[in-house]
Amino acid sequence: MEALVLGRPNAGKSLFLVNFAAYLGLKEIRVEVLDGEGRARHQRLSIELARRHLVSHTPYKTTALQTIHVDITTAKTAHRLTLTDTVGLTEEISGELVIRRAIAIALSRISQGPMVLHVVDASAVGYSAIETVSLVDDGIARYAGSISTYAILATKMDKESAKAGLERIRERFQGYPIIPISGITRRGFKDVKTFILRHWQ
Amino acid sequence: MPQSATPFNLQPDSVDRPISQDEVLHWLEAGRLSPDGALRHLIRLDSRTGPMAVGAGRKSAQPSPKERADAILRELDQLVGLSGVKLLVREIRAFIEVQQRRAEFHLSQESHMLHMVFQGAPGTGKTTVARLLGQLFEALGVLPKGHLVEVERADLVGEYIGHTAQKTRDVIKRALGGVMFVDEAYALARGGEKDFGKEAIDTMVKAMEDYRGEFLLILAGYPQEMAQFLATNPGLLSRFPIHLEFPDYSPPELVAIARAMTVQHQYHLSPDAEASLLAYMEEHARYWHTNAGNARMIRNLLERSIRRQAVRLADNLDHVTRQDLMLLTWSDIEGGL
Repeated sequence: MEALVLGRPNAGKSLFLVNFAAYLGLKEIRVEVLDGEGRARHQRLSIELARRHLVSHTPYKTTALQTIHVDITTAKTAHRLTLTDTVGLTEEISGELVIRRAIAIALSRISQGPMVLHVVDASAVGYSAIETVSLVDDGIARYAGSISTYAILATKMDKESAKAGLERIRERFQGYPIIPISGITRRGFKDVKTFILRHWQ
Repeated sequence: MPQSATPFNLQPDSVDRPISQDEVLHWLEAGRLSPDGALRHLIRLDSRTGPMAVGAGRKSAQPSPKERADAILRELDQLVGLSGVKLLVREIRAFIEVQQRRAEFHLSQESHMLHMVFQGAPGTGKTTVARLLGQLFEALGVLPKGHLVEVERADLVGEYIGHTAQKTRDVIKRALGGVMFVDEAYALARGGEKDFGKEAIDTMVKAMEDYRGEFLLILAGYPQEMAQFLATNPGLLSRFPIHLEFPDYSPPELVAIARAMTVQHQYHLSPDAEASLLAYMEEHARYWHTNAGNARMIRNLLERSIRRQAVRLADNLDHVTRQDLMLLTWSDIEGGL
């Protein structure tokens, strides 16, 4: 099964991917990078290296679709999950063609109906007014929320403002599943796994 | 340059819309659509979520009146400043909804006397708010159509005896079901007793009784002139229970308006342009206000800046980047001041 990870820039999409892989017990990540021209590159990275290579504090680290395959093993079977990381979505029109093209590719994927994990930075929502920041988040929720299996991952829950942010996210996105997670405290990864298995197709 | 010829509108018009999902993605890639805009179009065009979808999605395709009213209030909230106006519009909405609920319980209702006076200088948002009010009243079921008929003295006052009443009645007929917005209304009392303006006022007053609840009349104009106008027409004052004041925008609010207008037209102000503009307006606060036209002045200023930017870039067109095309610098603005 395929899950698409969407969200605003710096919401923590790539970090979630790496941390989730680590949580599932992977020592090494095989990343398939699909660039704007449709060429695929394969990279083999340790978790540590992946964290350093794939994640950055500056937005737009991810400008191509990055896919990793992880196995979720339950008592009976191994489930092969394909997680696809995408470029951050903004309300502004980017000046760079690479980013605009990556966004177009990411959005075109939604209509194909994979599971969508929508990453929202709860700490950022906590210290800014959600009304001003979430046109993109609204769009993702309304679109992906009605055509595919969909959950909101409220990230960076270890930060101070995240609690208030989570409240606001719950208020704003009533009726959608919301899973609070934190890469540092490892909170919520079990819930994500349960969610994915429950909706396995 | 098509952009420089396009006037800045306070109301955005989306004439151009992509017609397929593929086109949405092409526009997105070409920089014609923002990602959130693209998502909205994808939702609209997807057979599973669009307006044609059968029972799909969490939200029904046709928004309920309440959702529509909420959307209109959100649009109102996006206007810069105007906190007093926003508050009063919320009060009016609550009042209407409570009256409607009272009717359901067979309780007596306050009669809907919602005709208004808007006091403020040009360019302070009076017409924009009037248009939104029309839409709001339509959504709330108070007015059947909610359209805006914007008129001034010349549209109401005729040239010979009897002409004025006819002309004014025609305008009122057009406004039935919606909002009749009389700009610079004090001009109707300008000519004294023998002026036909008086006849226009009398016709409007009569129509307010004849077509009670069928249209909303808004008289607008400069605060001082309007106060004087109403003071000399006591019959009018009692018929307009709601007075909205549109204060002049402060310099930071004008800069915020400039920012919103540029973004809407896919330009942006360089940080130093914003800072200098603010400094300039604080320095010339009196000039920029009442007589200069507030938001309208900003709009004209930006149109001039865009033309100046075009001149600045024209010599070097082969080497300009997308960023260059969007950026308005202080030198572009300064020349238009």
